[in-house]
Amino acid sequence: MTISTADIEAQAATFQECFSHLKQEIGRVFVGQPELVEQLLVCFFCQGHALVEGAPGLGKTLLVRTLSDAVSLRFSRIQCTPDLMPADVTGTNLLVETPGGAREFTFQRGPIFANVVLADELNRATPRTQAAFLEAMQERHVTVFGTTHLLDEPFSVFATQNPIEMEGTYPLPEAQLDRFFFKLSVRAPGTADLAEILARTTGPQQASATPRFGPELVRTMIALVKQVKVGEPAMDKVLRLVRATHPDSDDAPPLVKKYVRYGASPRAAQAMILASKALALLAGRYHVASEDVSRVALPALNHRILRNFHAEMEHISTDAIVESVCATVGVA
Amino acid sequence: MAFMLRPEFAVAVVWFGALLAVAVVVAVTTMAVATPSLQQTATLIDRRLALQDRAVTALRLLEMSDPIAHLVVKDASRRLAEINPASVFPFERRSLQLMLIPPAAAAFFVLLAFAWSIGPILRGDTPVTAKSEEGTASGAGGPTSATPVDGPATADESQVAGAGDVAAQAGEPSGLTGRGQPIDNPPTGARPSEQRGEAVDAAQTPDDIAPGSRPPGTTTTSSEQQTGLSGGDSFDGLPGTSGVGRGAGGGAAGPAATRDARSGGLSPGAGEGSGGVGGNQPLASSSVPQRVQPPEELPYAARYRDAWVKAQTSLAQSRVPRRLRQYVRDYFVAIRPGDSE
Repeated sequence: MTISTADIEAQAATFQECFSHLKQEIGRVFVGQPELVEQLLVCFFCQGHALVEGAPGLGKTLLVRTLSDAVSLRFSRIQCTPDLMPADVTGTNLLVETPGGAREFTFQRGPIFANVVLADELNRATPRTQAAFLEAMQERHVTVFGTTHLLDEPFSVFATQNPIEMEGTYPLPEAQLDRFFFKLSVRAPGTADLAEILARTTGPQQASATPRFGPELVRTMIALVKQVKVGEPAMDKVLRLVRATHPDSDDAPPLVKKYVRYGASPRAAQAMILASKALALLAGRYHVASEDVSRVALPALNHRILRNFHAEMEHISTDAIVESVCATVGVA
Repeated sequence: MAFMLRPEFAVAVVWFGALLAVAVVVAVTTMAVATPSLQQTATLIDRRLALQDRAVTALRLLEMSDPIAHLVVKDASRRLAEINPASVFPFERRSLQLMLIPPAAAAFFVLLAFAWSIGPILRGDTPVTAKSEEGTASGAGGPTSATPVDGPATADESQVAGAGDVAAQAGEPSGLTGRGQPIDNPPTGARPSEQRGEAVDAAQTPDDIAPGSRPPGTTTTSSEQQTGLSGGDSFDGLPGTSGVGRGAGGGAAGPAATRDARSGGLSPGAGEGSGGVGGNQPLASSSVPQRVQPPEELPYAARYRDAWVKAQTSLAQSRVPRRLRQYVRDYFVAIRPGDSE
């Protein structure tokens, strides 16, 4: 089925409206940090998974839940604890009695079968349970007792983690970190934002998002994002960015050569291109520009660069390394 | 402006033209090599006009039939159409450009003056130098210099003659006077001393030794030569001529030079002095620059005459070894113009 340019233009207009509506609805509940909200929405429309990192009480869970409510999608929350089992995430076969009196195993779907999954404090789950998320996040299906069960579309996992309480946690393995499309940081609100938060949350009425659109429309938007073209300068910038994160590359800045153990994987390039496509569509363009890449470089790269021992000892953050990489490549 | 007639100046003009041609070729080649591709141009336009890679992406998608590609091209076309080149590329007079104006103007005027100076040469006109116009030649050389013959060479000759090194030569082949044509280039005279002493070598002409006229090797006295000249400065020794000056030509300069030569024969000092007077006479009528016929276009007789004048000068100045002088004369006898020419 061929689609006309008029249809695409209509879909692009719908995408912009949808995006604007979601930002507005989330803004009614979640105060401040519009950049964070935008990056979260971009990640969602690219069907990526985001690792939301922030101190307790900053509204990480509220943010993800509001997104799900605003799009009218099925939402599930998994509170990760050390005793959480993989079957608690994926689901398991239960022996059930049929109306005829017979007994048979029936697959009981776990909380991963949702459109928007919030894995709260994912780093508190054991590595075994964390691994249960791996297949779901990457393959978009789960396998239980030899049977593969497809996940719903759209599907996005938003995991949160607390960077200050590391006791009793299991830091996420590099392979799992790489599966996250973006790593987003939730900062503490400013005075004005804090006052607004208090005004909204301590009154008799709680703000809530108005559901709209639905999964079908979201799927259309996701398909539209993937059709956006990538200009040669943007592609070149993405490639140079990824190359510059590798310490053995000639393009790597001194900071990378000194403090980086492993650079970004091809998934980083995929994430940057996809996210740039969404931003381009949002800007009314049908092609990715270099500026789009510049805006998504930090969230796409900062969790994919593995620092070495010296960096940890000297407290060199990944953000500083990514910034040096961007400066080397010429990303404003 | 005497340098304009020098041969080295003509060479310099040729070199200048060659360098100009090389510069043009280098410039064109450099332009062809350094011209940016369409892709590079589009990238540059995107960067300069903040088009967010629209032009370069549209250029790549121009041939695609994808609806998204069409939209990209359409969007780029719309944005480019909105751009007013005058507003995005304003004309700015920068300080560096202002600083370049004076030297550029100076260079322009220098080139203009240069072109003006070489204009007559390129057109084929021979500017008359101040020296020749002033009639500085003295003695019998005056009339010679006053008649432009072949540009710089004539000027040199006139200067030589004017310096009094060569006095009036009697009996020289004065043009084609042997056929009754007027003498428009009377020969320069021999030194008075040579007239007295070595007049035989200096004043002998091919006519004198031409077969049927005088046998080769015969010598004449200076009085004989002078007598020969008195026949109206005619080239009376050419084959087929009677030997007596039949041409009444020679103009006013001819007799004057003859008289000077004669007086020079009697008194060397008087020969030089009176020659100046005789040289000025035809200058008055020939001071206007005249178009000179290129040497390759001159008839053989005229070229022969010029060569013989030069040979005579060399013989008179003893540049030619004595034992070869007869050989030179024989040579000129051998190549003298025939009747058909």
